[in-house]
Amino acid sequence: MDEKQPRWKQVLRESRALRRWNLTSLGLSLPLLFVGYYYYGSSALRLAVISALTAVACEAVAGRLVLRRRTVDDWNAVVIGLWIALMLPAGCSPWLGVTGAAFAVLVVKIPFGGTQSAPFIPAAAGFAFLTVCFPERVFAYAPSAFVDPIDSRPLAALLRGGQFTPRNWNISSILLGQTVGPMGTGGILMIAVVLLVMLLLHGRRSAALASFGFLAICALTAYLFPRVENNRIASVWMELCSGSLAFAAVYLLPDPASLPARWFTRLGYGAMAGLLAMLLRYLGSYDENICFALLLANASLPLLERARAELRHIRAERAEKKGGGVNAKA
Amino acid sequence: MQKHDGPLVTAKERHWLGDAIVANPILVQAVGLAPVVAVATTVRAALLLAAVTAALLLICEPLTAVLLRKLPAWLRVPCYFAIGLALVVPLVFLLESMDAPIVASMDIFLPLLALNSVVAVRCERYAVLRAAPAALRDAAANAAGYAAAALLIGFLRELLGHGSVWGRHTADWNVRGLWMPFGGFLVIGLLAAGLKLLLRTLSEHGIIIGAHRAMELAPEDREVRKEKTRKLFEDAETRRRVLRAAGVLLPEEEIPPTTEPAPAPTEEPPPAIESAARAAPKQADAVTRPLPDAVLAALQSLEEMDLEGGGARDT
Repeated sequence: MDEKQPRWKQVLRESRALRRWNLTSLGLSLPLLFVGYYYYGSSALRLAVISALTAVACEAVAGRLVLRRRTVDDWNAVVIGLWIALMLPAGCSPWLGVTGAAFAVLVVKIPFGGTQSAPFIPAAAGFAFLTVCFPERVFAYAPSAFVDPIDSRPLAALLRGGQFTPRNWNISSILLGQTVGPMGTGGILMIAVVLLVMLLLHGRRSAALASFGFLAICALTAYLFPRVENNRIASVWMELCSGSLAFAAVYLLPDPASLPARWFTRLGYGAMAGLLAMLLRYLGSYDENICFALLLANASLPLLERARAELRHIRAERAEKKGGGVNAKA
Repeated sequence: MQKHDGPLVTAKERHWLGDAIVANPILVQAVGLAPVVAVATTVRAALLLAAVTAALLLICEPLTAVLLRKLPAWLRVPCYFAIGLALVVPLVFLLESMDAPIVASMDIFLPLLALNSVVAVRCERYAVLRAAPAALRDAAANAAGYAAAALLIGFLRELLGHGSVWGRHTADWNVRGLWMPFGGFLVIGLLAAGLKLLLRTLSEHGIIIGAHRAMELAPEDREVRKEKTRKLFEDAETRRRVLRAAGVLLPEEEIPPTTEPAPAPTEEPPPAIESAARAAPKQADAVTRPLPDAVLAALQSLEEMDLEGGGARDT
């Protein structure tokens, strides 16, 4: 199929597909940016623009120096910068966005060969770096006029402390993102709509398998080990709606570079990431551990692929023994 | 395997200081990383690490070349550790009486330097095959390389992580992650990538440093490499592994074992490609399709992996 095409045509087709993927990601992220702008005003917009511009600048320079080609055309840097900004508090210093975006591009993406070969999700790595280096700033969430005034702490922190009581909260404010938290990842309703849109888009549908595996395992864990007293269903809802979990499932996890090729492995990859995310939520020391879980899942993906290859090999050997293959005589 | 009586001399030894850069123990060979990652967060700590490692290398390598080479390998490694302990234990007591805080900041990693992997690797890969002067030169090169890399890493982590240099406050901001071991790995990775980029750029401009000239192997080394590669490819399991890694052999395919030894090597380098070329027709018959270039590349990488430092002598 592809072998008959000249190499330059293949490269052109791949780069067009990559650009289309990233532009779609950007388009799907803009509603969340709008939510952030609506709740927090121009500071959210400023942070997103600074973060995206930093990522683009770093990629333009490092791509030229290290990879010796122009890599900014695929729009991936803009997406990385925007996603990092969406996970940060709206009122934080722009330097956080700059540092996170620069780390994601210069340390995680470019040294490994660019968009299609980065072993870790760059935005997740950038945010994890910020979490480790500046936890007091990353979790200093900005006040908003829309936030439910009952409790000024984020949902994830309340769940971690075992202090969450469902009667103090109404579900509509949680779904609309009117809670204390990152500027763009709280709009659960918007994220759910985006997930539905992804299912309609050709090419995104199979990528969403990882998201479903992730959300299913998170929901199952929350049901089996509830952190909301005497209410397992509320535990599932609150775990899925708190922090950046839903955002990570829908936006970060289907990153094309680290997504396995086969549907079954995709499902397994999502499930493994979900299990790690819930483990870190229950045992971790930060309010938001989702990015660490994604990085761990990225790191263990080769093991998953290897296990699949070994299974395939064992199955082939068994089939050969049963069939008494031609080579057995030799 | 046939043993060589005299020590092997390669062009590497004529550019021993270049080895400190091109075959840097930390940035290229990636040995002795644990103490650097864990405790080299300041220049002071990095200096102490470098000094202890240098002392160990400069004692152990010549001693190995002169005395320990006659021992079997299983006995040599404990000997390196015994020498390390004899040096490090008094040093720890001495430093505790002089500068207790630095010893406390090094935690368990200062006594653990007695079991230094840099020493074990260099002695086993190099000193055991060489005469004492060559071993001493290698020890000096590796000690210099280790010290340069450790000091640079310590400087960067202290400057960016603590906002100070040699204990003097320089900045109000700091990146806390760089104190942590993952910060150490990041700094090492970035420096290693930077070094590779620098060497690539220099070689593109015709500037070749140190061990790059190891390609100009002495005749003895060339023969040794050919022999080793031929032996490796004679082994059925290794051959199967290499071919499978190169994507030639399907899991269900079988390679009949090679019954006759491969022909004696001729004179032209590189030997890995020669061996592969010799073996290629047989394997092509076995799998009834031509071997791609990937086999040659895989063989070459296998050879480079296993033959670091000559590796000719059975130990």
